[in-house]
Amino acid sequence: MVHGEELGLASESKSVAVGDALPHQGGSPGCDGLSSVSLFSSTDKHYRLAKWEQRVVMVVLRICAWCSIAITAGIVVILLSEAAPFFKEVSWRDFLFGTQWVPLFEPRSFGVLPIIWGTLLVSVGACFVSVPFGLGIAIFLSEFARPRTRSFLKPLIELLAGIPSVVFGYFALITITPGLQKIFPNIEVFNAFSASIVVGIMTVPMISSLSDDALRAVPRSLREAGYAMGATSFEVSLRVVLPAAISGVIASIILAFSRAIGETMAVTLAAGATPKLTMNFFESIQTMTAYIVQVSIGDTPHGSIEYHSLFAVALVLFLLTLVMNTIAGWVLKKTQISYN
Amino acid sequence: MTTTSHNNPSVSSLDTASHEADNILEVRGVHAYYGSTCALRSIDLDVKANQVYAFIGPSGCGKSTFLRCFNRMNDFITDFKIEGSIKYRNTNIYHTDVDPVLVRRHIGMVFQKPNPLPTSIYNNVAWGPKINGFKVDFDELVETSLKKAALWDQVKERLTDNGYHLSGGQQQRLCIARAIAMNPDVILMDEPCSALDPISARKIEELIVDLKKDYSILIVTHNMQQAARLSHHTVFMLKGEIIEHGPTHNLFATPQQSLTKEYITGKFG
Ligand SMILES: Nc1ncnc2c1ncn2[C@@H]1O[C@H](COP(=O)(O)OP(=O)(O)OP(=O)(O)O)[C@@H](O)[C@H]1O
Ligand SMILES: [Mg+2]
Repeated sequence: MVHGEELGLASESKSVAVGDALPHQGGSPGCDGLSSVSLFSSTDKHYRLAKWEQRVVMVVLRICAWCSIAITAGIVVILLSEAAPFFKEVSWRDFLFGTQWVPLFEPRSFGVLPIIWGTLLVSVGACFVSVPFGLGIAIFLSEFARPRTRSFLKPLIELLAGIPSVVFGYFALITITPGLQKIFPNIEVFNAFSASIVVGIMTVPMISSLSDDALRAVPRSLREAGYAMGATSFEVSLRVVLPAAISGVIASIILAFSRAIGETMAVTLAAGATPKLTMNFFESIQTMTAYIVQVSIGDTPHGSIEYHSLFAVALVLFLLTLVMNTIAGWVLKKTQISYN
Repeated sequence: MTTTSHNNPSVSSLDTASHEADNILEVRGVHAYYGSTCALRSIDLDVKANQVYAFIGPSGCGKSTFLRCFNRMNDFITDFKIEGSIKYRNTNIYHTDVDPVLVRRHIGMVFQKPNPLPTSIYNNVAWGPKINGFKVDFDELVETSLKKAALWDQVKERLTDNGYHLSGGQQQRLCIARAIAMNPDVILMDEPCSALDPISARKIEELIVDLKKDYSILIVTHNMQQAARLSHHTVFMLKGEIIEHGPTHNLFATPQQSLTKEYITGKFG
C-alpha cells in the first residue's frame, strides 16, 4: 500500500513538472476520487498549476527571444546614429568607392575599398586553407574513420576553435612568417599570406565539424544505392554522399568565410596596418577589423571624424557578414532535399 | 578463377555431378552471425538462371540478411560474419581474392524504400555504368533501361528533373532501371513493393514478370499472393533456417512441412 501511494505521488509530481495539461488518469491511486469528479473542470488544482506554470515559462521564453532581437536592433541603431556624423562630412560615394584609406593623417581620405579589399583578400586566402583541410577532415571523419578514431579526433579538432585568436595571431607572427621568410625571402614581416594561413587554420573546425554533421546525415539507403551499383567506398563518399550533403557543406564554407571576415586579433597581429589595394599576399595590408582595433586602442578623441569612421566601417562589416549568413541560410534552404 | 570453394570444398565437389548447368547461384552451408547472434543457419540453395525466387517467412527470420549475402551488402555491418560459400557462376563470391565491388556489378539490388540518388533522372540511370567505365552510348542505355522499367514514357520529357520529384512508384521503377542499366545477371529485391500503394505495387509486379525473361530475380516479400503470382520457386524461412523450398505451385498447394502449411494459411507470422 505504501508502495502504491509512492507510485501515485510520483506520477502526480511528474505530470505537473512536464506541464501536462491533462487531468490525471483514474488509474493512479493517489488522486482517484479527485480526477473522476473534475475530469474536465478547470478547478482541478493540478491542472491549474500546470496551466499557470506553462504560462510563466512561455513568458520567460518570449522575453528571452525579444531580448536578443532588441540587442541586435540596439546595435544597429547605435551603428547608424554614430555613423551619421561621419556621413555628414564624407559622402557615401567617396566612402564606398574611394580607393585611398588615409583616415588618421592629413590630407585625409576615407575610401573604404582598400580595407574591404584587405578583408576579402585574407578571407578568400583563408578559404584556400580551410576548405581543403576542413572538407578532407570531414570526409575522413564521416566516411573512413573508425568510431574510436573519430571519437578522439573530432573533439581534438574542435579544440582548435577554442584557442583564443590572439594566440593564433602571435603564432602567425613569430612562427609562420619567419618560416615563410625562409622560403620567400621577399615577404614582409606583416603580410596577408600568414594571416590567411592562420585564419584558415582557425576556421578549419567550423567546416570540418559542420560538414561532418551534414555528411553523416546522408541516409544509409543512399550509400547502399551507390554500393549496390558497384561503386567503391571512395566513389560512394565523393560521388554520392558529398553531393547529397552539398547544401550543408556549402553553408559551412560560407559560415567559415563570414567568420574569417569578422576575425580581428589574428589578422591585426599578422597582416599589419597598411591599407592597400593589392593582389600581393606578401605585402602588409589592413582589414576592416584591424582598422577598428587600431583606432580603438589609439587615443582618438571622442566625437572626431576618425571616431565616427569606426562606426561607418563597422556598419559595412555588419552588412557584409549579414549578407554572407543570409546567403548561407538561403543555400541551405534551396538545395536541401528531404529524403523521405 | 577459383572453381572450388575455399571454405567448404568437400561439399561442392560432392554436389557438382548432380547439378544442372544452369545454376547461377549455389549456396552451401551458409551460417551468418551478427556479433554472436546467429541470423542464418546451415543454408543450402540452388538458384537457376532466369527464374524468380520468392523468399517468404515471418519478420526477423533472416530473409533480408540472406538476400544481402548475395551481393555482399552485409560487409558494411561491422560485426557481421559469414561461413560457408555462395558461388556465382562457379566462383565463390566470399573467396578472399574476390572484390565485392565486382560482385555487385553482376548482382544488382533494389531496396525496400525507393532510394534514388539526389540527382537527375538521367544521371540516376547513367551513374552506375559511368563510374564502372562502361564504353557505351549513355543516351541509348538510359532510354533502353527506362523502357525496360516501364518508366520511359512518363519521364522522357523530364530526364533532367531530380529523381526525388517522381512519385514513390516511379522512384522505385527508376531504381529498377538503374539496376538494369548495369546489365546484371541477377537482381535482388528486398520487399520492393512494400512502401508503395497497391496500384504502384501492381505495376512493379507486372514489371518483374517482364524482367524474368532476362534476369534471375530473388525477391523477398511478405505478400503470399505476390509470391504465388510472381515466382517459380518459393523459399520459406524461419528463425534463420530454410524450412522448405520448391516450385511455388507445389509449395503453396501441397506443403511438405507442417510449419510451412501453418505459415501460408496464416496461422502465425
Ligand atoms: N545490423 C544488424 N545487427 C544486428 N542484428 C541484426 C542486424 N540486422 C538484422 N539483425 C537481426 O537478424 C535477424 C534477421 O533479420 P532480417 O533483417 O534478415 O529479417 P527479415 O526476415 O528481413 O525481417 P523483415 O521481414 O522484418 O524484413 C533479426 O533477428 C534481426 O534482429
Ligand atoms: Mg527484411
